[in-house]
Amino acid sequence: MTANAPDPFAVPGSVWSRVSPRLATLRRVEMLCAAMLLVVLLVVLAVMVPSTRPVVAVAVGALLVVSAYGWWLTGRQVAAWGWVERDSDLVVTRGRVWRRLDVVPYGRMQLVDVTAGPLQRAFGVTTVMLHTASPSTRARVPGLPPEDARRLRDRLAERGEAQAAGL
Amino acid sequence: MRRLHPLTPLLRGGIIAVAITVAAGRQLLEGGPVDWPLPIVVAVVAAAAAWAALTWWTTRYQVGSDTLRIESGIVVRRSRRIRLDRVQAVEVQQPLLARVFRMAELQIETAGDGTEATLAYVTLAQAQQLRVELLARAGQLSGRAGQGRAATAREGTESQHQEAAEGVHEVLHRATPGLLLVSQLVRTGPLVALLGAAAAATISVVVGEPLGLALVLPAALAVGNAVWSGFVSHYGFTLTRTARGLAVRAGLLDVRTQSIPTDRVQGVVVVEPMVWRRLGWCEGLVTVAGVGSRSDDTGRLSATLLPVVERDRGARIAIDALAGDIASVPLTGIPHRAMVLAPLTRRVLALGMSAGAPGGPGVVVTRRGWLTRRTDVVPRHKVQSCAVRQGPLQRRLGLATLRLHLPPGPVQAVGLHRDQSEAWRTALTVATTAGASARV
Repeated sequence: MTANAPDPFAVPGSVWSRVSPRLATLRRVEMLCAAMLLVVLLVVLAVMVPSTRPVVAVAVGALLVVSAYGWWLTGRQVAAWGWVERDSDLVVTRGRVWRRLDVVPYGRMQLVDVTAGPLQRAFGVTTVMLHTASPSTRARVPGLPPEDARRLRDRLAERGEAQAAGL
Repeated sequence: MRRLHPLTPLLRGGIIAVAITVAAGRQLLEGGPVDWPLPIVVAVVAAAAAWAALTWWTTRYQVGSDTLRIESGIVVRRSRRIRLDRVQAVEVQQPLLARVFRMAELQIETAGDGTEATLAYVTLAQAQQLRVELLARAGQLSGRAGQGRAATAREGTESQHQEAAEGVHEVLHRATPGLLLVSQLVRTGPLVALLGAAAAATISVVVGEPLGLALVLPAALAVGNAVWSGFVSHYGFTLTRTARGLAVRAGLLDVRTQSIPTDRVQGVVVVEPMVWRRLGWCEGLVTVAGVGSRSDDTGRLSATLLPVVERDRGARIAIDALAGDIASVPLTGIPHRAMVLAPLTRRVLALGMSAGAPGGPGVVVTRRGWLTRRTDVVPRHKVQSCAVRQGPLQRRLGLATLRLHLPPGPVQAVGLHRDQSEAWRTALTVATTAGASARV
């Protein structure tokens, strides 16, 4: 979206909070590790079976192109994540080509998950995920610094309690 | 602590006896003599009988003031406590063999973790009495513990309790066997399969190549099976209005009863397969909180509000189930520029939203489907969350798809290819209502 084309899905009176760019770094590292592994396997193959060398060369080339594209795409994808805390609901947006927006009322939240795997912890990015009684609800905010994630979870849980009654 | 009925081992063991008989019968049919060594057969049967008897002996239950205790297990003892204020539904089921002996099993569903406990078997009268007792206690407990409209699960138990206590009121709909059978046959799936098989058969006869004929038998069997299972599970379908909701009773071999508390209905969908539309028939399905999550045949029945009914009557009953006025919701079609994306359903796709009078729920209605048309109706205050999606083509055209999320069940409200700003406005508005009503 360019600066002069207004976002058709803007939340009136709010701006999107964006996720940490470190999420992009993490995803790029993950992607490059996978690509490296494939390259190593291909090189081993080329060394052991000389007749496959032309194919391997093409494959490695393709892998480089794909990785470069993935590098660029990851940046755009991570930049597209955003969320807004409204008075009574949380709005999450993701994706650029396939855009998806989720609106989850605080009163509907069944639980809020905060997860971070070992790699995520090393990069300081944490995911906050909301669950409702519907399995289709897919409201997830990835790439938050752990402290922000905890604070967001506490805020959400607090508002959820204040706005829900009973079960 | 009470024990289950002494006939339980027999009813359970009956399955083994049937299995042995079937196996023996198959061997006889295939021409071979049944040459199993008698001692082994006797030993197996005796061991199974002993196991069944021991299981019966070690299984005990007790309805306490706030919990139901079930103790079971021969080698590993298991003690289960079910909090009665968590009980969402109690179902009385009668499998075929149990029905012969006027026995029944009791299925207890709880909120939250969705665990289910089964008491099998007790006499039918006992099962019904236990159901009333459990629901009554659950109702009392929840009456003490909390109130408010949003506490749907608790209200559900309460309404079931009242229904159990006050009894059935008025029969709303009864499906006749003939109509049921015909309607199952002319559903889109079976019909397309039959037409396909007929076409294949005709072609192979004309061409003189017998290969196409080989398709006919499996197709016929599949269709027969689908029609038969639809017929059997919905046979004698009766929908009644009770004190605080609806109740369903159906089944040819296994009779099942299911209560649908109105305040736990999350949405209804009116389904019209191709031929049904011509005949003016429709099927009504409901999503009820905590019930529709099972995807097997039982889930199918518990989701069915009306197996087949004239359209107008169906709509009226659906309105009844929702306690909302859906007839007055004006539907708007998709923008003209969206026709490229949905050439076949361009006149079908529609969405409407009623504001909802103060106190009234207000609903969102969506319509879609080419061969089988479906109209989903969702009360705004039951929506769990909203999603708007936009693909690259939709973005070019300024369109977006709106989805309203509900607990698992047949109702799927989807507004395909709406104007993007309309979809987004609707999503925000519906979420606000849903959040506001959760607060009450």
